[in-house]
Amino acid sequence: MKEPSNKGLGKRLFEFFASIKLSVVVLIALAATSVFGTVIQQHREFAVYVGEYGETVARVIRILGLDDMYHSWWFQLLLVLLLVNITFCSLKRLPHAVRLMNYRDPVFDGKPVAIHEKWAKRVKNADVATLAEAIEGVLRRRLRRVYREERDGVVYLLGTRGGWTRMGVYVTHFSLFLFGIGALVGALWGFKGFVNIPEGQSVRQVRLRGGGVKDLGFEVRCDDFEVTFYTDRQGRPTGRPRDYISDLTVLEDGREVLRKRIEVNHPLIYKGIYFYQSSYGQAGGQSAWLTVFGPRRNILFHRRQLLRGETVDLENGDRLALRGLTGDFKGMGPAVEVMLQPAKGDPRSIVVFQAPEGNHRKLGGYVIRLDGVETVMYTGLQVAKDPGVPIIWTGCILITLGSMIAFFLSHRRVWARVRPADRGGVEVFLGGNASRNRIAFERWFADLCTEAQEVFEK
Amino acid sequence: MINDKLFGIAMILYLLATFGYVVYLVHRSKVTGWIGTGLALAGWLVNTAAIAVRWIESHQAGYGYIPLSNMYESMVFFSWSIMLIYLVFERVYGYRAIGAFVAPLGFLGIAVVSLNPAISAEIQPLVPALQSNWLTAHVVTCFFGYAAFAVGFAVSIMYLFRHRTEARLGKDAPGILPPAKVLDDLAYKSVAVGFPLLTLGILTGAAWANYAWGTYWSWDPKETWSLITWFVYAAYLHARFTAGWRGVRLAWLSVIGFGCVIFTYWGVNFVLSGLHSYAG
Ligand code: HEM
Repeated sequence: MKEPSNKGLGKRLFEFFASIKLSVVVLIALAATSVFGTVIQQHREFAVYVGEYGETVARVIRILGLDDMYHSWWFQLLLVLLLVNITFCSLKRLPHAVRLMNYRDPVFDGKPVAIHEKWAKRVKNADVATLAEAIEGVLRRRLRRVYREERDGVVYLLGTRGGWTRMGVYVTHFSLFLFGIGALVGALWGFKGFVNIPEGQSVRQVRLRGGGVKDLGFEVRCDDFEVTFYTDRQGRPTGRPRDYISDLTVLEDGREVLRKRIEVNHPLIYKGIYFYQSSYGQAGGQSAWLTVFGPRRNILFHRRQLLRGETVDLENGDRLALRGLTGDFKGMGPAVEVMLQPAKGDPRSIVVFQAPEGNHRKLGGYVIRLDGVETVMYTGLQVAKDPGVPIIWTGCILITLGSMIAFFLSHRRVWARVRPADRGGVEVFLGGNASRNRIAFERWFADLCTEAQEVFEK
Repeated sequence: MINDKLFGIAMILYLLATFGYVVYLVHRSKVTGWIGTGLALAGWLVNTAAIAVRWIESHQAGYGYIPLSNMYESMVFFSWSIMLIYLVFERVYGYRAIGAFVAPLGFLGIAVVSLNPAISAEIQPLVPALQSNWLTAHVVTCFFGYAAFAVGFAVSIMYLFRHRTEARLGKDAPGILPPAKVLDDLAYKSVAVGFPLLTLGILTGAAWANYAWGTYWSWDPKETWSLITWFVYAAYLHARFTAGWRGVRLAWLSVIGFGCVIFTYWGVNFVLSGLHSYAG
């Protein structure tokens, strides 16, 4: 369609950005392109795409940013376009909606008001004033506000209810705008990172998702990490994890300010920064307790604590080194790797499990028993701060309320005109309209007319 | 386990209710109508009991959770919600004929998971990520929304049938389905009920994700598809309110919307992968 040339450029731009056609196009484009991001894997190496789609398509994917689609410039542009569209559309329509909301003119003859439901009745042996009063009573009972005007012996009435519900749409659209602002605030002033803290240690910095580190301004210490397991009906552990739990302490200048036990779904929150339990692992064992018997079954040492990497003397110049240890070797429990360095000959190493009594390993004439390991776990925490979240939640509340108002409530108006009829008696006319849900309104209006009818009969 | 036997009974009652409603469509006698409704209500009550029993059984097994956490549990809950929304609609609007198209959906919901050997009906312990009251809020709101859309879908299909008849024979054409105008209105009402519920479902999901993972939105396939679904139904409501669409085009939009619901729910679990796939 060609715009008349006498419109200014600003006006034409406004019309373009406020048009429903644009919103339909943008909404469809958003829905359709969103599908790509769910079908094409996101955040993968270039080679993965080459492997899956071939070199050419992989290049297209990279150029269009389809590997991180929802953050690509064109997708973000579509989102911005939607917000601009909603803003302009609302600005364009709001004044009219406010006018309708506050409409209070009972005289409808010759006015451009759309009256959808109509009802008329001639009442004999009655006068205008009494009937008008009766109708006013009916309107007052069924609607919130009633306005009255008398002109040349004709009484006009307007009853209206729920005008404010016309604002529901604008609340809804405004909340979408809040989502945009909330996301922007989060992107500008928030961060997402992660950190692993071994038990007993503390950290001050976290690594950011996109690279780089962030200083928290305080310290977080992990005092303990624990995995709990489901038990079966007999109370035996089943090996299925029930929960991951970390005891955390927040330190400001070395002073403890907060202690909290966190678990999955229950984070620590301090100064707007959330610490979520997300993973765990072995920070490497520190030491193990070993008992070693000599070739003549003589005890060389009993439950002696060895540090990782430590070497001890046995007999005749033989030496034993603790090469590695773990709290859980392939699901079989604590284990160490020890190496015998004989005075003559090649070194040999074996793995020793923390076995039940009597189950010892032999190594070059010696017998080695593992009595226990001291392992250290680390807790893996996601760390996030998003100052946009309160704005997002405000938007959530508003969009819910707004769309409820917009869909379920309506602005109902009923006009009445009471005038002397040409053939004697009084003519009563009722007409109504509703901002939505006409079918329900039709029934409601019919009810109202029945009530009016009953009033006349009295 | 007793619960899956009860689900089996509910499933059979829904099937019988379907027959009851179909007979009612043809016969139009008060009695057949009552039989359909009676069977549907009985099925729903057994379905309710089955969910309660499963809850108790999960406590006995030592896991203790509200049964809404995997494909089996969510599908039987889906059936339950569909029938609940339908029975409320029947009570409020008094159109029983719709039951002939909705009750089979209730039946299918349970049948698909009970008769599919790939889906386990066993009570499994809940992984730590799912141990949250948010899960309940999220699943309940989503599925109530989905259920309302399911009713809207059934009514839209009826509309499309009825419309063909009316197009051929005129408005007062004899037929076993309610008038097209009524169906059009009921379909819209279902969507108008479903939309705020889906909105709440997405919001509770976002709230949970924010609380549990620190990100209210991460564009994972399930989230994205729920948003696509939401866009389609937003388009539906706009089309009706602002563009003044009625009838066939709108009915097709409701069918497409329900296709999106099914894809969000099933397709994403089986076709795509992502954060939510553990829930399958
Ligand atoms: C996905 C985002 C959107 C949502 C959830 C949404 C929601 C709503 C809701 C709930 C209504 C109330 C329907 C009614 O009147 O009863 C509405 C109406 C409307 N929407 Fe949207 N909307 C969205 C996007 C847009 C966009 C982008 C535009 C473009 C300009 C737009 C234009 C309108 C208009 C003109 C109305 C009718 C207002 C009236 O009754 O005067 N909407 N919308």
